[in-house]
Amino acid sequence: MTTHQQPPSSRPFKGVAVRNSIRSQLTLAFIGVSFIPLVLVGLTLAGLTIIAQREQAISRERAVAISLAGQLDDLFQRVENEMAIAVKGLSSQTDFEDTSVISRLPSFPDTIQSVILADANGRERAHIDRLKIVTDATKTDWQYLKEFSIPLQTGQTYYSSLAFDDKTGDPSVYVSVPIFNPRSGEVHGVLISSLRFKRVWDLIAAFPVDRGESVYVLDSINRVVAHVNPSITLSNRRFTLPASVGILADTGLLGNRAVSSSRQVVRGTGSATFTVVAERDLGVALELAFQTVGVIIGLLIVAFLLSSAHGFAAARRLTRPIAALAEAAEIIRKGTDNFDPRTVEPIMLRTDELGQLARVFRNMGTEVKVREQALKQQVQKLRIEIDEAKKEKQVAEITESDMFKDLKAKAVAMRARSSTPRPVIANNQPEEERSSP
Amino acid sequence: MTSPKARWLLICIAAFLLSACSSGSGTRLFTIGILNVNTATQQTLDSFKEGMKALGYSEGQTVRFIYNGPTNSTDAKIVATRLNELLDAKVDLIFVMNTAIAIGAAKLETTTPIVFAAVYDPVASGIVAERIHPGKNVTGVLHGISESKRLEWFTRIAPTAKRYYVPYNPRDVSATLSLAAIKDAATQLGITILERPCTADSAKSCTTDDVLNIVTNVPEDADAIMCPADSLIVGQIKKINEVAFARKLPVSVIGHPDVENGALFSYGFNFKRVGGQAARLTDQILRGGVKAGDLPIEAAELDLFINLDTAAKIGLFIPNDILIAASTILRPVASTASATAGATVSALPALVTTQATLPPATAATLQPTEASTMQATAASSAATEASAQPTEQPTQSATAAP
Repeated sequence: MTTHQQPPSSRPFKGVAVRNSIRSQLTLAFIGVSFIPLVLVGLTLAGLTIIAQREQAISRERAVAISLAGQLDDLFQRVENEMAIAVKGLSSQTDFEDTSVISRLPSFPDTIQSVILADANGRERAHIDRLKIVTDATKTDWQYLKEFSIPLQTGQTYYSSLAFDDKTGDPSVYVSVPIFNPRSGEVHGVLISSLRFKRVWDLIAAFPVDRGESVYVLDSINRVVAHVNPSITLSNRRFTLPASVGILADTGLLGNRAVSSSRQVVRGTGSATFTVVAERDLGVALELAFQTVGVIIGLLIVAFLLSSAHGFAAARRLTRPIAALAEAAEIIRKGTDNFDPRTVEPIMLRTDELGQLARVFRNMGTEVKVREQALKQQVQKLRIEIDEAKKEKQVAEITESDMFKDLKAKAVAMRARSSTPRPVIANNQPEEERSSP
Repeated sequence: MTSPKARWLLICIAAFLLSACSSGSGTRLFTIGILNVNTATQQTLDSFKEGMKALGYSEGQTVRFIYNGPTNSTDAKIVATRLNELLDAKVDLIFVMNTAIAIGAAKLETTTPIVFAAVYDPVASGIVAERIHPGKNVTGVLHGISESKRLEWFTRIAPTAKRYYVPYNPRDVSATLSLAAIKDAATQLGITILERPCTADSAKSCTTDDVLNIVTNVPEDADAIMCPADSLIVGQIKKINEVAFARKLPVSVIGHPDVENGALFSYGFNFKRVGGQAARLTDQILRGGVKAGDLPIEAAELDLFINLDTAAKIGLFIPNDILIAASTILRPVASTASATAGATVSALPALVTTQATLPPATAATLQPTEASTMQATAASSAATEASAQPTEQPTQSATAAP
């Protein structure tokens, strides 16, 4: 039997060893042809889905930021409007009447903590507070405080920076509106309100957000001044928004990957800038996209399994008859005695080229077998003839040898002597001696 | 592809795709355990549920309330038992509406968040260490911030009063804290506080007779009655009002329900709003994922309630600038043509003015005090508008902000 050293990857047919079998090649070809386009399509779809979902998430966060910024702006505007109306009612009235006017602010005490009416020198003419008792002793000189001096000098509404109460943590911001003398047009007083920024906290706490989504507000020095979790605000956390949107996401407030958008609210002619940020955790924002990618991967796996199975079966259908024919050929190579034409008959039933090949092969094998048997018979016959000739030749060689002739002569002589009488010989002579010539 | 193998393969693929496509984001049902001492806080509980509903919680679908009250007792053992029953029910959060119960809840060894509403001073009561970072997985709403301002309002509403009678239960933490705040404010305002405990022995609990004794025997030199945050005292508000009406003394209470029961005014938390505040905190914990101990203790929103009917009965004129700051005014029934008896109506929007004339019935009962005489003329038209307005104001605006 012929032996070949097999590479590990090759798979020989029965009795036949091959390198790089057609079956493997066909299987890989089938899988490649059917699977690679699917992979390309799948990857493209997955990429497009992620991009589309990301854009959608950014759009949503933008809408959320705009919505909340609008509410925040409305809150500030409402307070400013109320203060402006109150200011109009303050002209030429007594301190008592002015106190009465400012106490009518609809936002007091829900949104406004305290309201102070300061004259042109920064002295309090009227002061109301929702919690504290106001007496002469508690009055403040506002002359050198920004909340008074800036609107007095600029004639513009002023917002102070945010401050937190040490005991309660309640945030507040001063909103100062100048009071103009209608005759001279000069600023002759300032109405100062301490705005309860907690209203903004409440606004955020009640703002409807989706899972993984959060909204917060940064002030002009990037402090987180409002967040659904007040502990973040009270920890004086700062956060700088990235200058541009990252490839897929930004770093969120809590260090997570997030999709975010922001909107600025500018009040008090630029004295206060609040940035409303809406962000959503990347994993949640792209959850649908990731699910789609998962489905695509699942489909690709299924497609791979199906194409593998189909490729394997198709290759098997092609290579199995070839292997059978190769095996039959190997049998014929060893001798036609063991060749049975019926082994290729199933292949002959095929209507393709392999079937034709099998029919030709069967005929060829049968003919070879018949011829081989005829040859064998002829060889046998010749062998007998040769043997007989050899015998005759050997006999002739023997009979024509000198020794045979000498022996023959001796035999004739002996026969001749035996026909004459012989003397009696003693019995104690050994037999060998007696029979020897 | 109709062979059994092929069919099975298709079923597997379909099942895989269905499972992959399912979102899996189910709505969670939160369970909230509720405990209070008595039904006096029913409005708080109602507003808490309304607040939860407004925040998107649907009872039975996204939230379930387990009410385990009222305890009808502040006994620590009874409170602890009721609270543990709620914990055994695996609630996600416990909502309590009383200082004693909040104290008991804060002592629980549990990770279940606790939200309280309308506790006078949770720091002084030992419920939490501080307001900004309460810790202990506890947060809530306090109301003990308005006593000094309430006294100041009292001095404006009844400017002739100089001596304020304060009956109180010395065994009630809220009452003693409330009294301390009132006394501090009195010092600033230059008025006198006539305090009287229901028992001289602080180790002894007050009986009903003890309470009745101090609320009915008002000192002769008292000009007004200032009820502290004391449930025993305000529980006898009708008796207090009887004495007050007889002697024409103004009475101030901390809660607006007692104004509806005849007290002159209150400046303090609104039962109907404080529950909403607690609901927001609850939402921040349940859905926002914020630890209760990280949520600062909130102060209850403050409302000024004035009973003009009572003012009329005791012959007190309340100036317009005060009425205009009130969130709710109870007006004399006779002064409103179509108002139903005992109706509660909202205060006017601050900047709305009308030219209604003063009804004779009201005018007859309104007696300007000495101090308010100078404003009487200016205020009379606004007082009239406040009296005449009920038919124009929808009832649902009763809790509207001023």
